[in-house]
Amino acid sequence: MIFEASDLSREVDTLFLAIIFVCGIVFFGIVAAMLYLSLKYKKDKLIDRSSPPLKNLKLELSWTLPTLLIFLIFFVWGAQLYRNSHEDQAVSQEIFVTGKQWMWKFQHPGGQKEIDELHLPVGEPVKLIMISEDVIHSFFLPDFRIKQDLLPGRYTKLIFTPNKTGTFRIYCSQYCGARHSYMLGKVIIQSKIEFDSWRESRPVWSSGSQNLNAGQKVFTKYGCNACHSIRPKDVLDENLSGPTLWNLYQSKVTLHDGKVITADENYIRESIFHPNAKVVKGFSPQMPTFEGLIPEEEMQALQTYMKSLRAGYP
Amino acid sequence: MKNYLNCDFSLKSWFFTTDHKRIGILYLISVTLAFFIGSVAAGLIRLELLTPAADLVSSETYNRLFTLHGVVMVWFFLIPAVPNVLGNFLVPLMIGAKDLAFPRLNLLSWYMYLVGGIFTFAMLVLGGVDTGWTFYTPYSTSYSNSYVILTVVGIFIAGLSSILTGLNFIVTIHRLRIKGLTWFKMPLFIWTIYGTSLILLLATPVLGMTLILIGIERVTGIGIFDPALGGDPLLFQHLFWFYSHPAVYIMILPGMGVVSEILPCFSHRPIFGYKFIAYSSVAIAILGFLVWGHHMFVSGQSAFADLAFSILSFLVAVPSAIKVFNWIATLYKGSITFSTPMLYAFAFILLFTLGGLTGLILATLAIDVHVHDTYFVIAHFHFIMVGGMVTAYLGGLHFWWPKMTGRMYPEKWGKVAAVTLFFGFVVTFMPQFFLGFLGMPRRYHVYAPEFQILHIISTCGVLILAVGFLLPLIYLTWSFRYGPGCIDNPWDAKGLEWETTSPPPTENFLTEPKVPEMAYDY
Repeated sequence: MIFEASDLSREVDTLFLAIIFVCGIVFFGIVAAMLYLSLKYKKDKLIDRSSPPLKNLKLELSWTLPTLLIFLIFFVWGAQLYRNSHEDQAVSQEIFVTGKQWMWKFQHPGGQKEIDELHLPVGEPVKLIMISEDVIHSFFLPDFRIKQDLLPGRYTKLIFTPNKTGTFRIYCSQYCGARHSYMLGKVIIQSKIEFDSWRESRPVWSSGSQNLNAGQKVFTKYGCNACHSIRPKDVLDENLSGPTLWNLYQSKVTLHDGKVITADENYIRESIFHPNAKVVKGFSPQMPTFEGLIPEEEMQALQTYMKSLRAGYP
Repeated sequence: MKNYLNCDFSLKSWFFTTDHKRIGILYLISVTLAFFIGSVAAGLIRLELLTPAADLVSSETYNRLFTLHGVVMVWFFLIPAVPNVLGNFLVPLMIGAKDLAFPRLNLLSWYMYLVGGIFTFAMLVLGGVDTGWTFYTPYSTSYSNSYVILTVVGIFIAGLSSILTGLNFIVTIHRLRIKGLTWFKMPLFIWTIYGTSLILLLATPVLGMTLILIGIERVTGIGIFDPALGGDPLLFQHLFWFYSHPAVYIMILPGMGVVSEILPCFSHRPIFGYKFIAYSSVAIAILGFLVWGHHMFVSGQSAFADLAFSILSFLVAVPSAIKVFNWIATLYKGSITFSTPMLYAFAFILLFTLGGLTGLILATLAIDVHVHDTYFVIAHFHFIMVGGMVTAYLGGLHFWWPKMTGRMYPEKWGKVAAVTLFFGFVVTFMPQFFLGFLGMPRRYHVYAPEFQILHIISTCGVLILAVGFLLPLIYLTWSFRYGPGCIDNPWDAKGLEWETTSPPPTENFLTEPKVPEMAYDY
């Protein structure tokens, strides 16, 4: 049974049916023409066969150009829908998803963790920030008509807004080894009230009371504060050797080679694991790598903490 | 009368032959063998999928079965079948040449294929490989505990065979055309073989390189694709599909060529829109290199790349549409006989068109995100590969069977098999479109019970399909030895290959054939 559990689902289905409809007409046109012509000009039929045409530019154009036009309409329609549904936006529900052979791990902003089950409130946009701990997986929500691969070593994102309560399927759709077909899960969409009471009832597994606090602890555990300030540049800390992390997330960062990049989750992750890959302008490459030292869960807490370092948080 | 078959019966004369026709027969036997190995794997997969639970084989075995099916079918059947069997046999005959430009290279190419096949077979005997035919990293390099190296070496060697064949055809078509046979008088089959050869020559080295990189990462641990070692897994996908998408056109282009030969013959009139069909083959060969990213819409590549590859994928469908329309127009004012090859050509047009139209659905970004890596994709490419390519190959094999053997096959059984195949195919693969849209992911050993009914229908289709494939195997084998002898040109077909005896003598033409005014001079 497949559901339309988001507005996008309905829009995708409409487009799908529209294309099926047009393709159906074309296909039956081709079948009809083939049957009609091959029976009409069957060998034993007495019929005028004089001077069969060999070419006809107008005819060629008359079937090529409409074909091209229809293709372009499909393209624009599909691309538009894709762009709208993939636009990065700030959302309140930011959830970390970790895929590993063969399970799904979810971490809510409040630090609540789930395995193979994801609780979400209905009607609120949600952003999944996903990463794999081993091979490539793919997070597939058929009832929402979306999927996105999870890569090792890099975050990918998926944004959607459930519009129905209920329980929906999660599949891994990228072949990932022996138990690939057992890598399943459920996304449970609840009303806001039900969701809140579910959330209250969950123990927070992080060492702190919140993911944010956990991130703060990770920050000092690995000694990040020895070089990085967490306050605005003009406040203090001129003697620290690294750039300040205040207001870093989603800001424009100028690198030593003059390139300007946006500091997203992948940049933060890369700068911790491969500090020399992108060195900020005006700083020397002297930070040691933390690759292999910080487990993914602590990294995710750290990411949440980084995002909190700005005026007016939350 | 002496011909290429009865001039020498010794095994040595077969294994050391440089005659393109004999090499064609060697390929015919080897790709048939590969096809049946691949089919047994497919049969076991479908049998396992009769029920949602795991009952016939373990997950490990299941994963090895679909990998084996993919590897054997793609590299040892689909890619070599039409170019190496029919192409080998027909290219020199169709252009009035004595042989290919490099006859010994041609034999070497068959041995390469054989050695590659033996490596792959060794992998199978030792315990198989479980990466899928796509070898996605880092699974294939760091996680898979199976015979990855042996398999990629086998494919690498088979790739060398492809490159040599492509090179041989290109040089032959440029240099050995009989005087007066200009480019636009060539049969359209030659145009498609030319386009195919360009892809074989230009794309296969990229595959070879990629496979070597897998081997290097697996053996030495140098980080190329695995992020844990400092590599990039998407780099692998780009390299792999840069070959493997054009490879789809290696498989389907010659099939289109076969259909372009069969249609005018059994309509008994020249083909409609010769130049449009010829140029569209070249257009497909070129555009085919620019669409690989549509395999990566959900991989994490940039949104801009997604847009570019989406529109290019729509564009590559245009020349295919042009071909279909021109084939239909060829029926107009023809004199049509429904012989076996013609039935296959009709089946090709129907199934290939369905495959192409569902390809448009996959090129549409928002929809691909949903059906990517589901049974919808499986159904789509089997419509192109089996419904298109295998159907065309069988049509061509029937069409040129009298030319190759000097014997007829039983026409009645031929028709029965063609119709059986068509319906078997539709019953097998049509339900998979529905499965895919409903959300059934590919490469699943166990699945949700809600999908079972469609899986049962699909598996039943395989039984019909199996009958459809076994029939030609039986009656063509029978015909090779006992079939009634035929006249030189039983179809009253045009083209230089019909200007000589059937089967042809070793030197192809005893007297120089006369080049007609135009191609398909019916």
